[in-house]
Amino acid sequence: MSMQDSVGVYDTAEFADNPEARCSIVLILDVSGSMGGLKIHTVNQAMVKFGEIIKEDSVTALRADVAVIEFDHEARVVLDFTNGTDFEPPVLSAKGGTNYSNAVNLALEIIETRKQSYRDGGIAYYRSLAYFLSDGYPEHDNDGELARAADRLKAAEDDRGIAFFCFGIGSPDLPVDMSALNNLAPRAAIELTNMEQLDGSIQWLSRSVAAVSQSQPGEAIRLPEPDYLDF
Amino acid sequence: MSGKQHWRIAAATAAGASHLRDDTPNQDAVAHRLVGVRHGQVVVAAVADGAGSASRSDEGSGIAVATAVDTVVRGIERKPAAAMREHLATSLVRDAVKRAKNEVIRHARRQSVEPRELASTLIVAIASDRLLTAAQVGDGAVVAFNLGDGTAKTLCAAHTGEYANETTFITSRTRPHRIASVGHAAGSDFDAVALITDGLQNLALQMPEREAFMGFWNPMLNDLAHSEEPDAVAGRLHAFISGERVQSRTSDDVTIAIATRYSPNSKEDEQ
Repeated sequence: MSMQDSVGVYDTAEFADNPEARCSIVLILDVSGSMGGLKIHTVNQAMVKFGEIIKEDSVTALRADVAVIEFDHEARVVLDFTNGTDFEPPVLSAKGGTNYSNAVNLALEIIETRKQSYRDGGIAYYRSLAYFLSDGYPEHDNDGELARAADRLKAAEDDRGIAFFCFGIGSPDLPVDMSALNNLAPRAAIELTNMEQLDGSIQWLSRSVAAVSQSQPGEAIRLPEPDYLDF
Repeated sequence: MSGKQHWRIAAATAAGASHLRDDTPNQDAVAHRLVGVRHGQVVVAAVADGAGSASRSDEGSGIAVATAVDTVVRGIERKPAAAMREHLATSLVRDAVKRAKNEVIRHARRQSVEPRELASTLIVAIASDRLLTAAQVGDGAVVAFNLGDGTAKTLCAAHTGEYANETTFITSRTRPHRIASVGHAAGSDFDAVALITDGLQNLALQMPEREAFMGFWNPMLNDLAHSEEPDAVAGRLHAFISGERVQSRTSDDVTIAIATRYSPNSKEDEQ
Protein backbone atom coordinates (compact mmCIF):
# COMPACT_ATOMS: atom_id res chain seq x y z
CA MET A 1 0.00 0.00 0.00
CA SER A 2 1.29 3.43 -0.86
CA MET A 3 1.48 5.51 2.29
CA GLN A 4 0.50 8.61 0.28
CA ASP A 5 -2.92 7.19 -0.53
CA SER A 6 -5.77 8.49 1.56
CA VAL A 7 -7.81 5.49 0.53
CA GLY A 8 -7.12 2.28 2.40
CA VAL A 9 -5.11 3.91 5.18
CA TYR A 10 -5.02 1.60 8.21
CA ASP A 11 -7.48 -0.65 6.41
CA THR A 12 -6.23 -3.50 8.59
CA ALA A 13 -7.52 -1.65 11.67
CA GLU A 14 -10.40 -3.54 13.20
CA PHE A 15 -13.17 -2.07 15.27
CA ALA A 16 -14.32 -3.19 18.68
CA ASP A 17 -17.68 -4.91 18.44
CA ASN A 18 -19.60 -2.81 20.95
CA PRO A 19 -23.37 -2.58 20.92
CA GLU A 20 -24.75 0.75 19.69
CA ALA A 21 -26.31 3.01 22.30
CA ARG A 22 -30.07 2.62 22.13
CA CYS A 23 -33.02 4.98 22.00
CA SER A 24 -36.30 3.29 22.90
CA ILE A 25 -39.44 4.65 21.26
CA VAL A 26 -42.99 3.65 22.06
CA LEU A 27 -45.96 4.54 19.89
CA ILE A 28 -49.11 4.35 21.99
CA LEU A 29 -52.03 4.40 19.60
CA ASP A 30 -55.76 4.65 20.16
CA VAL A 31 -57.63 1.90 18.27
CA SER A 32 -61.06 2.54 19.80
CA GLY A 33 -64.02 2.19 17.45
CA SER A 34 -64.12 5.89 16.65
CA MET A 35 -60.59 5.67 15.16
CA GLY A 36 -62.00 3.43 12.38
CA GLY A 37 -61.78 4.38 8.72
CA LEU A 38 -59.55 7.24 7.61
CA LYS A 39 -57.84 7.83 10.96
CA ILE A 40 -56.58 4.28 11.51
CA HIS A 41 -55.68 4.04 7.81
CA THR A 42 -53.60 7.23 8.13
CA VAL A 43 -51.88 5.89 11.26
CA ASN A 44 -51.00 2.63 9.48
CA GLN A 45 -49.65 4.48 6.43
CA ALA A 46 -47.68 6.88 8.65
CA MET A 47 -46.04 3.98 10.48
CA VAL A 48 -44.77 2.66 7.14
CA LYS A 49 -43.15 6.05 6.46
CA PHE A 50 -41.88 6.15 10.04
CA GLY A 51 -39.99 2.91 9.40
CA GLU A 52 -38.62 4.18 6.10
CA ILE A 53 -37.31 7.41 7.65
CA ILE A 54 -35.71 5.52 10.57
CA LYS A 55 -33.94 3.22 8.13
CA GLU A 56 -32.67 6.08 5.93
CA ASP A 57 -29.78 6.67 8.32
CA SER A 58 -27.75 3.63 9.34
CA VAL A 59 -26.79 4.98 12.77
CA THR A 60 -30.38 5.97 13.63
CA ALA A 61 -31.66 2.57 12.47
CA LEU A 62 -29.16 0.75 14.68
CA ARG A 63 -29.89 2.90 17.72
CA ALA A 64 -33.68 3.00 17.48
CA ASP A 65 -35.64 0.40 19.43
CA VAL A 66 -39.31 0.68 18.52
CA ALA A 67 -42.37 -0.77 20.28
CA VAL A 68 -46.04 -0.24 19.46
CA ILE A 69 -48.88 -0.37 21.99
CA GLU A 70 -52.50 -0.23 20.87
CA PHE A 71 -55.27 0.63 23.28
CA ASP A 72 -59.01 0.70 23.43
CA HIS A 73 -60.55 -0.04 26.83
CA GLU A 74 -57.56 -2.36 27.24
CA ALA A 75 -53.92 -1.95 26.23
CA ARG A 76 -51.79 -4.46 24.30
CA VAL A 77 -48.19 -4.59 23.06
CA VAL A 78 -48.64 -5.27 19.34
CA LEU A 79 -44.94 -4.91 18.57
CA ASP A 80 -42.36 -5.45 21.30
CA PHE A 81 -39.07 -3.53 21.11
CA THR A 82 -37.52 -4.10 17.71
CA ASN A 83 -34.34 -2.61 16.31
CA GLY A 84 -34.95 0.06 13.67
CA THR A 85 -33.21 -2.04 11.03
CA ASP A 86 -35.83 -4.80 11.52
CA PHE A 87 -38.89 -2.62 12.10
CA GLU A 88 -41.98 -3.93 10.29
CA PRO A 89 -44.97 -1.65 10.91
CA PRO A 90 -47.98 -3.45 12.36
CA VAL A 91 -51.38 -2.97 10.74
CA LEU A 92 -53.92 -1.80 13.31
CA SER A 93 -57.68 -2.02 13.17
CA ALA A 94 -60.19 -0.14 15.33
CA LYS A 95 -62.64 -1.50 17.85
CA GLY A 96 -63.80 -1.00 21.46
CA GLY A 97 -63.86 1.82 24.00
CA THR A 98 -61.11 4.07 25.39
CA ASN A 99 -58.95 3.90 28.49
CA TYR A 100 -55.73 5.96 28.82
CA SER A 101 -54.31 4.87 32.15
CA ASN A 102 -53.90 1.21 31.13
CA ALA A 103 -51.96 2.31 28.05
CA VAL A 104 -49.73 4.73 29.95
CA ASN A 105 -48.98 2.19 32.67
CA LEU A 106 -48.12 -0.49 30.09
CA ALA A 107 -45.85 1.91 28.19
CA LEU A 108 -43.96 2.96 31.32
CA GLU A 109 -43.63 -0.68 32.33
CA ILE A 110 -42.14 -1.89 29.03
CA ILE A 111 -39.80 1.13 28.85
CA GLU A 112 -38.47 0.43 32.35
CA THR A 113 -38.04 -3.27 31.55
CA ARG A 114 -36.18 -2.35 28.37
CA LYS A 115 -33.85 0.03 30.21
CA GLN A 116 -33.08 -2.67 32.73
CA SER A 117 -32.13 -5.03 29.91
CA TYR A 118 -29.82 -2.31 28.50
CA ARG A 119 -28.18 -1.94 31.90
CA ASP A 120 -27.85 -5.70 32.29
CA GLY A 121 -26.22 -5.91 28.87
CA GLY A 122 -23.86 -2.98 29.45
CA ILE A 123 -25.56 -1.05 26.64
CA ALA A 124 -25.61 2.75 26.80
CA TYR A 125 -28.96 4.37 26.14
CA TYR A 126 -30.67 7.65 25.47
CA ARG A 127 -33.81 9.11 26.93
CA SER A 128 -36.92 7.28 25.71
CA LEU A 129 -39.45 8.84 23.38
CA ALA A 130 -43.18 8.17 23.59
CA TYR A 131 -45.90 9.20 21.15
CA PHE A 132 -49.43 8.97 22.50
CA LEU A 133 -52.35 9.41 20.11
CA SER A 134 -56.07 9.45 20.87
CA ASP A 135 -59.23 10.72 19.20
CA GLY A 136 -61.43 10.99 22.19
CA TYR A 137 -62.39 10.95 25.76
CA PRO A 138 -61.33 7.93 27.89
CA GLU A 139 -64.77 6.97 29.16
CA HIS A 140 -63.34 3.75 30.64
CA ASP A 141 -60.94 5.60 32.95
CA ASN A 142 -61.86 6.80 36.38
CA ASP A 143 -60.43 10.11 37.55
CA GLY A 144 -58.21 8.52 40.17
CA GLU A 145 -56.49 6.14 37.74
CA LEU A 146 -56.02 8.90 35.20
CA ALA A 147 -54.54 11.23 37.82
CA ARG A 148 -52.13 8.53 38.99
CA ALA A 149 -51.05 7.84 35.39
CA ALA A 150 -50.50 11.58 34.91
CA ASP A 151 -48.38 11.69 38.09
CA ARG A 152 -46.26 8.77 36.92
CA LEU A 153 -45.72 10.45 33.56
CA LYS A 154 -44.75 13.73 35.20
CA ALA A 155 -42.28 11.93 37.44
CA ALA A 156 -40.77 10.11 34.46
CA GLU A 157 -40.44 13.39 32.54
CA ASP A 158 -38.97 15.25 35.52
CA ASP A 159 -36.49 12.43 35.96
CA ARG A 160 -35.64 12.89 32.26
CA GLY A 161 -36.32 9.19 31.73
CA ILE A 162 -38.80 9.82 28.98
CA ALA A 163 -40.03 12.52 26.62
CA PHE A 164 -43.76 11.89 26.36
CA PHE A 165 -45.74 13.60 23.59
CA CYS A 166 -49.54 13.56 23.59
CA PHE A 167 -51.61 14.17 20.48
CA GLY A 168 -55.37 14.44 20.02
CA ILE A 169 -56.82 13.86 16.56
CA GLY A 170 -60.14 15.40 15.55
CA SER A 171 -61.56 17.31 12.62
CA PRO A 172 -62.69 20.90 12.09
CA ASP A 173 -66.33 19.71 12.27
CA LEU A 174 -65.82 17.41 15.23
CA PRO A 175 -62.98 18.68 17.42
CA VAL A 176 -61.39 16.19 19.76
CA ASP A 177 -62.14 16.55 23.48
CA MET A 178 -58.66 17.47 24.71
CA SER A 179 -59.54 17.76 28.39
CA ALA A 180 -58.37 14.32 29.53
CA LEU A 181 -55.28 14.52 27.32
CA ASN A 182 -54.42 17.91 28.78
CA ASN A 183 -54.68 16.46 32.26
CA LEU A 184 -52.55 13.48 31.33
CA ALA A 185 -49.82 15.17 29.31
CA PRO A 186 -46.58 16.07 31.12
CA ARG A 187 -45.92 18.59 28.33
CA ALA A 188 -48.56 20.52 26.37
CA ALA A 189 -50.82 18.14 24.44
CA ILE A 190 -51.11 18.94 20.76
CA GLU A 191 -54.41 19.06 18.89
CA LEU A 192 -54.37 17.74 15.34
CA THR A 193 -57.30 18.63 13.12
CA ASN A 194 -56.73 16.76 9.87
CA MET A 195 -55.09 13.66 8.39
CA GLU A 196 -52.10 15.57 6.99
CA GLN A 197 -51.27 16.78 10.48
CA LEU A 198 -51.65 13.25 11.84
CA ASP A 199 -49.37 11.83 9.16
CA GLY A 200 -46.92 14.71 9.69
CA SER A 201 -46.80 14.22 13.45
CA ILE A 202 -45.64 10.61 13.07
CA GLN A 203 -43.01 11.65 10.53
CA TRP A 204 -41.94 14.32 13.02
CA LEU A 205 -41.49 11.52 15.57
CA SER A 206 -39.18 9.61 13.23
CA ARG A 207 -37.05 12.73 12.74
CA SER A 208 -37.03 13.21 16.53
CA VAL A 209 -35.65 9.69 16.90
CA ALA A 210 -32.80 10.69 14.58
CA ALA A 211 -32.18 13.85 16.64
CA VAL A 212 -32.06 11.98 19.96
CA SER A 213 -30.06 8.99 18.78
CA GLN A 214 -27.38 11.19 17.21
CA SER A 215 -27.18 13.63 20.10
CA GLN A 216 -23.73 14.06 21.58
CA PRO A 217 -22.74 14.25 25.22
CA GLY A 218 -24.01 17.38 26.90
CA GLU A 219 -26.20 18.28 23.99
CA ALA A 220 -29.61 19.70 24.78
CA ILE A 221 -31.63 17.68 22.30
CA ARG A 222 -33.07 19.89 19.61
CA LEU A 223 -36.21 18.23 18.38
CA PRO A 224 -37.35 19.14 14.89
CA GLU A 225 -39.86 22.00 14.47
CA PRO A 226 -43.50 20.79 14.65
CA ASP A 227 -44.03 21.72 10.99
CA TYR A 228 -46.92 19.25 10.69
CA LEU A 229 -49.21 21.88 12.25
CA ASP A 230 -48.80 23.99 9.10
CA PHE A 231 -51.06 21.63 7.14
CA MET B 1 16.22 1.56 29.61
CA SER B 2 19.50 3.35 29.30
CA GLY B 3 20.39 6.28 27.10
CA LYS B 4 18.19 9.08 25.93
CA GLN B 5 14.59 8.37 25.13
CA HIS B 6 12.73 10.36 22.52
CA TRP B 7 9.10 10.45 21.40
CA ARG B 8 7.24 10.69 18.15
CA ILE B 9 3.74 12.14 18.26
CA ALA B 10 1.01 12.36 15.66
CA ALA B 11 -2.54 13.66 16.03
CA ALA B 12 -5.63 14.35 13.97
CA THR B 13 -9.15 15.66 14.46
CA ALA B 14 -12.15 15.56 12.14
CA ALA B 15 -15.79 16.62 12.22
CA GLY B 16 -18.29 13.81 12.67
CA ALA B 17 -21.06 12.92 10.26
CA SER B 18 -23.79 14.69 12.23
CA HIS B 19 -21.80 17.93 12.31
CA LEU B 20 -20.95 17.74 8.62
CA ARG B 21 -24.65 17.28 7.90
CA ASP B 22 -25.70 20.26 10.08
CA ASP B 23 -22.79 22.32 8.82
CA THR B 24 -21.57 22.89 12.39
CA PRO B 25 -17.83 23.06 13.05
CA ASN B 26 -15.67 20.31 14.50
CA GLN B 27 -16.01 20.94 18.25
CA ASP B 28 -13.12 18.66 19.21
CA ALA B 29 -9.61 19.99 19.68
CA VAL B 30 -6.13 18.54 20.13
CA ALA B 31 -2.74 20.03 21.10
CA HIS B 32 0.64 18.48 21.78
CA ARG B 33 4.27 19.44 22.40
CA LEU B 34 7.61 17.70 22.87
CA VAL B 35 9.71 19.11 25.69
CA GLY B 36 13.47 18.55 25.76
CA VAL B 37 14.83 17.55 29.14
CA ARG B 38 18.29 16.53 30.23
CA HIS B 39 17.67 12.81 29.78
CA GLY B 40 15.68 13.03 26.53
CA GLN B 41 12.17 14.18 25.79
CA VAL B 42 8.79 14.41 27.46
CA VAL B 43 5.58 14.39 25.48
CA VAL B 44 2.60 16.52 26.52
CA ALA B 45 -0.76 16.10 24.82
CA ALA B 46 -4.38 17.09 25.34
CA VAL B 47 -7.70 16.40 23.64
CA ALA B 48 -11.09 17.98 24.32
CA ASP B 49 -14.63 17.43 23.12
CA GLY B 50 -16.79 20.56 22.98
CA ALA B 51 -20.40 20.06 24.03
CA GLY B 52 -22.79 19.66 21.13
CA SER B 53 -25.34 22.00 22.68
CA ALA B 54 -22.87 24.78 23.42
CA SER B 55 -22.86 27.37 20.67
CA ARG B 56 -19.12 28.12 20.88
CA SER B 57 -17.75 24.91 22.29
CA ASP B 58 -15.20 24.71 19.45
CA GLU B 59 -13.59 27.78 21.07
CA GLY B 60 -13.92 26.18 24.52
CA SER B 61 -12.21 22.95 23.52
CA GLY B 62 -9.47 24.84 21.65
CA ILE B 63 -8.69 27.06 24.63
CA ALA B 64 -8.82 24.08 27.00
CA VAL B 65 -6.22 21.99 25.14
CA ALA B 66 -3.91 24.94 24.45
CA THR B 67 -3.99 26.09 28.09
CA ALA B 68 -3.57 22.58 29.47
CA VAL B 69 -0.54 21.84 27.28
CA ASP B 70 1.04 25.25 28.02
CA THR B 71 0.58 24.74 31.74
CA VAL B 72 2.19 21.31 31.71
CA VAL B 73 5.06 22.37 29.45
CA ARG B 74 5.87 25.35 31.66
CA GLY B 75 5.65 23.13 34.74
CA ILE B 76 8.13 20.63 33.30
CA GLU B 77 10.49 23.35 32.10
CA ARG B 78 10.47 24.75 35.61
CA LYS B 79 10.75 21.40 37.34
CA PRO B 80 11.59 18.38 35.12
CA ALA B 81 10.86 16.01 38.04
CA ALA B 82 7.16 16.77 37.44
CA ALA B 83 7.36 14.33 34.52
CA MET B 84 9.03 11.64 36.67
CA ARG B 85 7.28 11.47 40.00
CA GLU B 86 3.67 10.55 40.52
CA HIS B 87 2.77 13.15 43.13
CA LEU B 88 4.36 16.00 41.18
CA ALA B 89 2.80 14.85 37.91
CA THR B 90 -0.61 14.56 39.61
CA SER B 91 -0.40 18.15 40.86
CA LEU B 92 0.69 19.36 37.44
CA VAL B 93 -2.12 17.73 35.45
CA ARG B 94 -4.71 18.84 37.99
CA ASP B 95 -3.32 22.37 37.76
CA ALA B 96 -3.60 22.11 33.96
CA VAL B 97 -7.32 21.25 34.27
CA LYS B 98 -7.88 24.14 36.66
CA ARG B 99 -6.11 26.66 34.46
CA ALA B 100 -7.88 25.36 31.36
CA LYS B 101 -11.25 25.92 33.03
CA ASN B 102 -10.25 29.38 34.28
CA GLU B 103 -9.02 30.40 30.83
CA VAL B 104 -12.24 29.19 29.19
CA ILE B 105 -14.27 31.22 31.70
CA ARG B 106 -12.11 34.31 31.14
CA HIS B 107 -12.65 33.96 27.41
CA ALA B 108 -16.42 33.61 27.94
CA ARG B 109 -16.45 36.82 30.02
CA ARG B 110 -14.46 38.72 27.42
CA GLN B 111 -16.89 37.58 24.76
CA SER B 112 -19.91 38.23 27.04
CA VAL B 113 -21.24 34.69 26.69
CA GLU B 114 -22.20 32.17 29.34
CA PRO B 115 -19.34 29.78 30.22
CA ARG B 116 -21.63 26.85 29.41
CA GLU B 117 -21.61 27.98 25.77
CA LEU B 118 -17.94 26.95 25.78
CA ALA B 119 -18.48 23.66 27.62
CA SER B 120 -15.87 21.03 26.89
CA THR B 121 -14.36 17.84 28.25
CA LEU B 122 -10.56 17.62 28.72
CA ILE B 123 -7.90 14.93 28.83
CA VAL B 124 -4.27 15.96 29.40
CA ALA B 125 -1.32 13.56 29.48
CA ILE B 126 2.42 13.66 30.27
CA ALA B 127 4.73 10.85 29.18
CA SER B 128 8.41 10.49 29.96
CA ASP B 129 10.72 7.48 30.02
CA ARG B 130 9.85 7.01 33.70
CA LEU B 131 6.16 7.80 33.99
CA LEU B 132 2.92 8.27 32.10
CA THR B 133 0.31 10.42 33.86
CA ALA B 134 -3.05 11.72 32.70
CA ALA B 135 -6.06 13.63 34.02
CA GLN B 136 -9.53 13.30 32.55
CA VAL B 137 -12.76 15.29 32.97
CA GLY B 138 -15.68 13.90 30.97
CA ASP B 139 -15.65 11.12 28.42
CA GLY B 140 -13.06 9.89 25.93
CA ALA B 141 -10.03 7.84 26.96
CA VAL B 142 -6.28 7.83 27.50
CA VAL B 143 -4.45 4.53 27.06
CA ALA B 144 -0.85 3.46 27.74
CA PHE B 145 0.66 0.70 25.58
CA ASN B 146 3.60 -1.65 25.68
CA LEU B 147 4.60 -1.95 22.03
CA GLY B 148 6.68 -5.02 22.72
CA ASP B 149 4.11 -7.32 24.29
CA GLY B 150 0.92 -5.60 23.14
CA THR B 151 -0.43 -4.95 26.63
CA ALA B 152 -2.39 -1.81 27.36
CA LYS B 153 -3.79 0.07 30.31
CA THR B 154 -6.61 2.62 30.33
CA LEU B 155 -5.32 5.30 32.66
CA CYS B 156 -8.38 7.25 33.79
CA ALA B 157 -12.05 6.73 34.55
CA ALA B 158 -14.63 8.47 32.37
CA HIS B 159 -17.48 10.61 33.69
CA THR B 160 -20.74 9.42 32.20
CA GLY B 161 -24.35 9.86 33.23
CA GLU B 162 -27.29 7.48 33.01
CA TYR B 163 -27.88 8.47 29.41
CA ALA B 164 -25.56 8.08 26.46
CA ASN B 165 -25.58 11.80 25.76
CA GLU B 166 -24.55 12.91 29.24
CA THR B 167 -21.10 13.70 30.56
CA THR B 168 -19.18 16.18 32.72
CA PHE B 169 -17.48 19.31 31.41
CA ILE B 170 -14.67 21.39 32.88
CA THR B 171 -17.05 24.37 32.91
CA SER B 172 -19.90 22.52 34.62
CA ARG B 173 -17.99 22.04 37.88
CA THR B 174 -16.70 24.63 40.31
CA ARG B 175 -13.52 22.62 40.84
CA PRO B 176 -13.06 20.32 37.85
CA HIS B 177 -9.47 19.60 38.91
CA ARG B 178 -10.79 17.98 42.10
CA ILE B 179 -13.14 15.59 40.30
CA ALA B 180 -10.71 14.86 37.45
CA SER B 181 -9.75 11.20 37.23
CA VAL B 182 -5.95 10.92 37.40
CA GLY B 183 -4.08 7.75 36.46
CA HIS B 184 -0.48 6.62 36.07
CA ALA B 185 1.55 3.93 34.37
CA ALA B 186 5.24 3.12 34.85
CA GLY B 187 7.54 4.17 32.00
CA SER B 188 9.37 0.86 32.40
CA ASP B 189 6.17 -1.00 31.46
CA PHE B 190 4.72 1.25 28.78
CA ASP B 191 6.31 3.02 25.82
CA ALA B 192 3.33 4.50 23.97
CA VAL B 193 0.28 6.54 24.86
CA ALA B 194 -2.91 7.53 23.05
CA LEU B 195 -5.70 10.00 23.72
CA ILE B 196 -9.10 9.85 22.04
CA THR B 197 -12.36 11.74 22.31
CA ASP B 198 -15.73 10.10 22.76
CA GLY B 199 -16.33 9.69 19.01
CA LEU B 200 -13.73 6.91 18.76
CA GLN B 201 -14.48 5.29 22.09
CA ASN B 202 -16.80 2.57 20.79
CA LEU B 203 -14.37 1.61 18.01
CA ALA B 204 -11.13 1.65 19.99
CA LEU B 205 -12.21 0.32 23.38
CA GLN B 206 -14.04 -2.79 24.47
CA MET B 207 -17.02 -1.54 26.46
CA PRO B 208 -18.15 -1.39 29.17
CA GLU B 209 -14.72 -2.35 30.62
CA ARG B 210 -13.03 0.41 28.54
CA GLU B 211 -10.08 -1.84 27.72
CA ALA B 212 -8.06 -1.07 24.59
CA PHE B 213 -9.17 -3.11 21.57
CA MET B 214 -5.74 -3.81 20.08
CA GLY B 215 -7.03 -4.59 16.58
CA PHE B 216 -7.85 -0.93 16.31
CA TRP B 217 -4.56 0.40 17.69
CA ASN B 218 -1.91 -1.88 16.22
CA PRO B 219 -1.74 -0.52 12.64
CA MET B 220 -1.33 3.12 13.67
CA LEU B 221 1.02 2.44 16.62
CA ASN B 222 3.24 0.31 14.38
CA ASP B 223 3.17 2.99 11.70
CA LEU B 224 4.28 5.73 14.10
CA ALA B 225 6.84 3.53 15.89
CA HIS B 226 8.59 2.89 12.58
CA SER B 227 8.15 6.26 10.92
CA GLU B 228 10.77 8.96 10.53
CA GLU B 229 8.02 11.42 9.67
CA PRO B 230 5.37 11.86 12.36
CA ASP B 231 3.69 14.56 10.24
CA ALA B 232 3.03 11.99 7.53
CA VAL B 233 1.55 9.68 10.15
CA ALA B 234 -0.69 12.56 11.29
CA GLY B 235 -1.90 12.86 7.69
CA ARG B 236 -2.69 9.17 7.58
CA LEU B 237 -4.50 9.40 10.92
CA HIS B 238 -6.60 12.23 9.52
CA ALA B 239 -7.40 10.25 6.38
CA PHE B 240 -8.38 7.30 8.56
CA ILE B 241 -10.66 9.13 11.00
CA SER B 242 -12.33 11.23 8.30
CA GLY B 243 -12.69 8.22 5.99
CA GLU B 244 -15.77 6.15 5.32
CA ARG B 245 -14.88 3.24 7.61
CA VAL B 246 -14.77 5.38 10.76
CA GLN B 247 -17.40 7.94 9.73
CA SER B 248 -20.04 5.30 9.01
CA ARG B 249 -19.66 3.98 12.55
CA THR B 250 -19.82 7.16 14.59
CA SER B 251 -21.75 10.40 14.26
CA ASP B 252 -19.62 12.40 16.71
CA ASP B 253 -16.48 14.44 16.06
CA VAL B 254 -13.38 12.26 16.22
CA THR B 255 -9.93 13.07 17.62
CA ILE B 256 -6.85 10.98 18.23
CA ALA B 257 -3.31 11.67 19.44
CA ILE B 258 -0.71 8.90 19.62
CA ALA B 259 2.87 9.01 20.87
CA THR B 260 5.54 6.32 20.78
CA ARG B 261 8.91 6.29 22.54
CA TYR B 262 12.21 5.26 20.95
CA SER B 263 15.95 5.38 21.57
CA PRO B 264 17.45 7.73 18.96
CA ASN B 265 20.85 6.01 19.21
CA SER B 266 19.72 2.42 18.72
CA LYS B 267 18.39 1.98 15.20
CA GLU B 268 18.35 -1.80 15.14
CA ASP B 269 14.68 -2.15 15.90
CA GLU B 270 13.68 0.44 13.32
CA GLN B 271 12.52 -0.45 9.78
